[in-house]
Amino acid sequence: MIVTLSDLLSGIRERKAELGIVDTPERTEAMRNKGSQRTPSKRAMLARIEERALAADIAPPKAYF
Amino acid sequence: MTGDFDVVASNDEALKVALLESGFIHEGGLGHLAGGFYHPDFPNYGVEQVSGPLFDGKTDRARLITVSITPQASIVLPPVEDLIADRLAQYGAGPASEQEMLLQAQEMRRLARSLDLEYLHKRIREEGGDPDLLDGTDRRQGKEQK
Repeated sequence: MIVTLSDLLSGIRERKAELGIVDTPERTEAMRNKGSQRTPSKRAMLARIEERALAADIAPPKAYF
Repeated sequence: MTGDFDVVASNDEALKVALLESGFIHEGGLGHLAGGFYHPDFPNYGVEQVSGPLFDGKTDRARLITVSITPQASIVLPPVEDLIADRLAQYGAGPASEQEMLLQAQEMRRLARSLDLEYLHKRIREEGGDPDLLDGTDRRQGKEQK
């Protein structure tokens, strides 16, 4: 199957609207990976991402690691 | 979401060369902490090259989804059934008190306009998960979860 990114994203938005799904910070946080099963390499990678972002004065994506 | 992207390639070395030629930087690190790439223009994201075939070769490649980003660029995503199976397996392998993987699986099932249930259950079993979790029955919790 081939789909454009814009069609994929609009399809997800439409589906959420049909289902009445509203993204809230609480829902997002409930589904966020809390990191207990991350591999050491993944933890190290996420730590490096945070370090780079902070050094560039950019808010890093929230991640538990 | 977090800032990391897992990428699987049929040729790891070719992917590494392509990333480097596109301006990505190979990150340092020693031993099992080594690996990963990032692009200087997007320091808050990283790419991890995952060795081996996608989901240990169990994914039906005919179901892969090609997402066209531009006329010259696209990415290929696993079918949603594989993602649901992966999350259920992760939920089953972790502490029962941690619900996020189960919630992700249930959300993807709701969002999917169509699912091949035979393939979904096959993949859940292959990954070691419990298909009944999608219907709200959580044996680990000893209760119905709605």
